[in-house]
Amino acid sequence: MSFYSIVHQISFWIILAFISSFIIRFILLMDPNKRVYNHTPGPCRVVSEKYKGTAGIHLVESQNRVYITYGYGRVFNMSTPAGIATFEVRKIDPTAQTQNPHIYDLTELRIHWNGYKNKSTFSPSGISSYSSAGRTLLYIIDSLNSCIQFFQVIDKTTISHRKAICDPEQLANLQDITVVGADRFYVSSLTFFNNRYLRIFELAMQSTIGKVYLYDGKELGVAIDKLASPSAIKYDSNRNLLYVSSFLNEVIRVYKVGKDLTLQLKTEISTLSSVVGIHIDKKSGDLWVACHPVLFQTILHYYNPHEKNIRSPSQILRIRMQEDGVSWVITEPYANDGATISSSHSLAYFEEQLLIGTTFGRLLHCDVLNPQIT
Amino acid sequence: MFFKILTWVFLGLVLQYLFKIVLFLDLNKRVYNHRPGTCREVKGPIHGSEDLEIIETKNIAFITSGVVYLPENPNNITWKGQIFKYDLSNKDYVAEPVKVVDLEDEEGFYPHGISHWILEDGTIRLFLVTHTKHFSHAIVILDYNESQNVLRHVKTIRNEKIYRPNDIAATGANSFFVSNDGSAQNALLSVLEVLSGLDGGSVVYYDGTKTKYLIERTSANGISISKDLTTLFVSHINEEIIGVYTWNKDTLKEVSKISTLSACDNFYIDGRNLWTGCHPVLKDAAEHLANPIDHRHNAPSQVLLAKFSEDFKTAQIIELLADDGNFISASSIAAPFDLNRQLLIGTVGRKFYHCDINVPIDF
Repeated sequence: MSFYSIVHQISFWIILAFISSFIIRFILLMDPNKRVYNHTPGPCRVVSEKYKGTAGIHLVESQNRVYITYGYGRVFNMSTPAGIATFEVRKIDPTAQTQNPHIYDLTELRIHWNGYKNKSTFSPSGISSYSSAGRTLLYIIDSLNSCIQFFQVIDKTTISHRKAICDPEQLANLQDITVVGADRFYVSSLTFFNNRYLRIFELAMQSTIGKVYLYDGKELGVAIDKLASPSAIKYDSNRNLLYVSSFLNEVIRVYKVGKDLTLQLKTEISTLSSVVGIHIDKKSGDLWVACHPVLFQTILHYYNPHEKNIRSPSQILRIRMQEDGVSWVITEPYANDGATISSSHSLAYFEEQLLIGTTFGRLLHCDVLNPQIT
Repeated sequence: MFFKILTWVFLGLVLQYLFKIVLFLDLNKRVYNHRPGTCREVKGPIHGSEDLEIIETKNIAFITSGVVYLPENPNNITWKGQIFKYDLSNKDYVAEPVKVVDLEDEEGFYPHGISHWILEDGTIRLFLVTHTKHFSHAIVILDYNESQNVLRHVKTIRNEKIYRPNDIAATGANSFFVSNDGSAQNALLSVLEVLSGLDGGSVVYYDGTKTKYLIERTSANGISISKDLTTLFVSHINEEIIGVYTWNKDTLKEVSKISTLSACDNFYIDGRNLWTGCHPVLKDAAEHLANPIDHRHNAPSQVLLAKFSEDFKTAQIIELLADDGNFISASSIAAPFDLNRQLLIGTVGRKFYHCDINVPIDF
């Protein structure tokens, strides 16, 4: 056997092993043998079916109000109203015989666009806020326009557009946003590539070339490099921790945030489910996360958002950090096979109630009857 | 050339088989914890509560404990086989063992599956699948004497068609279905049997005198029949499917196969609702089963409720409870009572649990 033919044989086997391992890893990634069963933490009801997408939810404790962005379906060519609505935070007694029928109402906010040109293609998803001295500012990811939109809350029913930061190159794949100060925030960018086919290739290879950007009030800079498909991002101001989830690697990275916003990786929480939305319970530090648990169904649903029969399961996990800060217990307060709500994308937990938004549709409200064990 | 193609085909087959095993063992599955309400351990059974029967008219439950399954060495079996009784009217969380008398083989009484039938005079008759330390099998029939709180032996049945019984479903004072969960009689051959896919289990029917095969070459674990004796439910555990059949006192006809993607063990049937305890991660369940008294190995648990449609062809599945194994390990049966407000959960080799159901189960 000549030297050349040996090299040829070896390289053939190596390439074959590489391709086989890629195929197997890809099949496992698709979750072909995963099944989601239905269960709720208490009685639930659909709050709204009007909008094609309720992909961003954010609780502003100081105002006792939850902001919900609606209309994400515009990114996928769905015709839908788009904007921001609010849900009032109240203590609700789930055992009361009769409920005031308006406690689950959403209030659509009037937006003063102040001449902003691209308001008809506004397609909001992730949302965060900054409150100080009675003034609340909102920051919203606008996917179709590749922008981050800045708003100020005027009163209970009105918000005013301040400015937009846009960049069709860097901000084309934004997933989520979290505020660390006035006009200072982190945003997660799912993929490096913007081109449709290159993005699919990048995700299929489970590459680690995604980024988290930091806007420091003046300009956008790279805060974390070499991330694998970063999706949800949330800052815990009480504990100075930044949580960044990896959509495909199914983990949540925990960073300690220093005074000058330097980041130090503390630990990685393995969820074995793709996280797309994070809510932090300020008092306990618990993470409530919204997931897309079965990937092949998620993909089918994202490619066919108009199809009523192609649904994707929903899952809410609660990660309770233990006192030592480096271990946790995970419970699953809510799971649905897609029949009630499809593709859970965002959430908030307040006053023993859970509000869950989805990628292309309904908003669900649940009572949490046993919060100590849920 | 021909041999080259053959080698490639063979390699492909081996690879896909190995991959299927990886999926079958649930190596990439994760179980999160959630409960339907407060759950408490019931004092009493510590070597398992593999199966249970609720006697609705008396509001009590009988639980089998101390199951012996494919033992590697009979000397490793240091526990006793027992039947426990749990009173469902008080929430005292204590189950007492019931004395069993007049057994043919007292030493070899390790109960597994259980069923019951109320005789014409109101006596509760229990039907038990039992194994000995050496893993020989028998069906033992006991009558419960309420005033003395004693189970008295009536009959022991051994038959070559009952070669590896797992569960039993009574259809009369002297008739029942038995599920054989495989044919191998030791652990090694059983592993080969499962991995090869050539299941040697079966469902047999004993009519009082003779036994006959109804389903052959399958894996049949839990088996239960509806109260009106027309619908039989069989857990084809290796395929992770619940088989639904109609019974006309002579033959079985398949109605549907419900895929659960989880290894469900024993059932409790209530109208069109099927409650079951399942093993969601097979590799952990297998490790736990091989050494049930080793407390380093716990297996995740899952309680499912399958709500069937009127024609039994489809079912909506709700997960009442999931546990990573740290509280409830290897659940094998779940049964509700008190108008679906409370739940009993049995495990293969550990304790017995009683939960409140505080969450809605009507979707």
